[in-house]
Formats: sequence, C-alpha cells, structure tokens
Amino acid sequence: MKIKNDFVTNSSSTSFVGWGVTCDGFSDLPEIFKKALYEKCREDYDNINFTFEEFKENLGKYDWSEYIYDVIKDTHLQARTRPYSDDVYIAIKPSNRDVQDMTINQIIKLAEKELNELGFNNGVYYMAEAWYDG
Amino acid sequence: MKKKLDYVTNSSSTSFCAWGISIDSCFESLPETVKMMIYKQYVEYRKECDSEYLSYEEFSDGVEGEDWTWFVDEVFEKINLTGTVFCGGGVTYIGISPDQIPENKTILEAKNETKQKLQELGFSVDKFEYILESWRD
Repeated sequence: MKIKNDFVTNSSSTSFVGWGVTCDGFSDLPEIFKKALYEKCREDYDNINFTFEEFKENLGKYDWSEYIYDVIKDTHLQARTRPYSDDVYIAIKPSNRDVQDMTINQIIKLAEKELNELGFNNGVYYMAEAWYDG
Repeated sequence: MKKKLDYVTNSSSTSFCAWGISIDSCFESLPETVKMMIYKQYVEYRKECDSEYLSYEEFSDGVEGEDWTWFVDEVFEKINLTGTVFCGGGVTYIGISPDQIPENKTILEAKNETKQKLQELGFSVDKFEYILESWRD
C-alpha cells in the first residue's frame, strides 16, 4: 500500500487561489504598481515627505499590504500577502461573483488585461497557495 | 505603516479548492457505484504491484487493513473531478477544481455539469458549494 503522510488538524492554515501573478516581495512589484502604491501611501501619510526613489529604497522594510488592496480595489483582482514572508499574490479568485458567467479563457484574459495595466507583463497562471499562519 | 515581521519558512501546507460536496470519510456511506470504482482502482494498483488482492466483500469490510482513501484521488481524476480526504476532519471533498475546467467553459457551466455528474454517481448535491480548505501536512 502507498504510504500517506499524516495530516495535522489545524484551523490556522490559509490559502489563496486564482488566476494571477506572484511577486517575490514588494521590491519585485512593477514600477507602475510601485508608483501607485507610493501615491496611496502619500494620500494616507500627508506628513511623510519622501520621494518616490526613497520610497522604493524602503519597499523591502515595511508591509505595504493595505495599500496593495487600495491600488486594485477598482479591478476584479484580489491580493494577499503571505504573513512572515515577502510573497505577494494578485489574482482573480474563482469565487468572484462577476466571473461566474465567463469562460476560463475570458477570466485569464481579464486578469491579464487588469494586471498589464498595473505593469505586470509576465503572463497569468493558475495558483493554489496555502500556508500555515502559525 | 506597519513594520514587516520576520520571515518564517513553511512550505508544508496543502490547499483544496473546488465546487463540490463534502461527505463523511466512511466507505459504507458512499454510493454503490463509487464503492465499486474505488475497489477497481485498488485491484488495478495491486495488479500493478504483482500483489494479491482482496475480494470486494473483504475490501468493503476493511478487516484486512486496506485503506480505500488511498484511491480517492485517482478514481475521481479519471472522470475529470477531484477528490481528497481530509483525515484530520474525517471529511472527503469531491468536486471540480478551477484548473480542471476546460478553458472554453464558463464556471457556471462547469458547476452545473459537476452537479449532474455527482448526482449520476449517486451523491446528494443538496449541499453543493464552493469549497476552499487548507491544512498543514
């Protein structure tokens, strides 16, 4: 018989599923996206007067998740940053109500279009990520 | 702005995403058609290993320690569905995952076809839903 690994029950695992892209951290985001993040951040922190160049230099040091959600809020995309790591996932989720009547091809094209506008040019793929929140 | 937390490696989580049903992980409660499909998969596997195999009755009784859950993945994959057993909760999930849907089909069409397929297999689809689960291996 095949040997199966034991599962450990835990309610603190999280997953993110969809058609989209993954970035190895905030620094890996496209320039257009970084600029949009920068603008959102400046809107929120009027008293912070740093340049876009300074912002980029500090991208790896802070968690910009909340601004990512702001940047994509008018699209069909959803984002998730993985806790304790640098990974950023941006995708159209299968559960999105607006895409239930679309073919998978149409959903992929829509994700590509919206991601292209945000500076992502590397193509869209289906992702099913899971992690342990600890 | 929030200061970033330290990075902790963890790559041992698994996710399951599908439109489908959740059932008890109990062989007895499976529809007869599905029980037979699982048994056939078991026999196929034993033959591939040049090993003896149990009769359907012995396999169903489970007295010889054969675990039917090993064959769930392959059985449902053959009919373009996905099935997985979540041992921690004693639950089996069966459905269609987003990446199994042909590119020229809508999600709605795929959901309806899956519902019909599950009904034909003898499952109740009263609680057909979007399932998104993850667990630590």
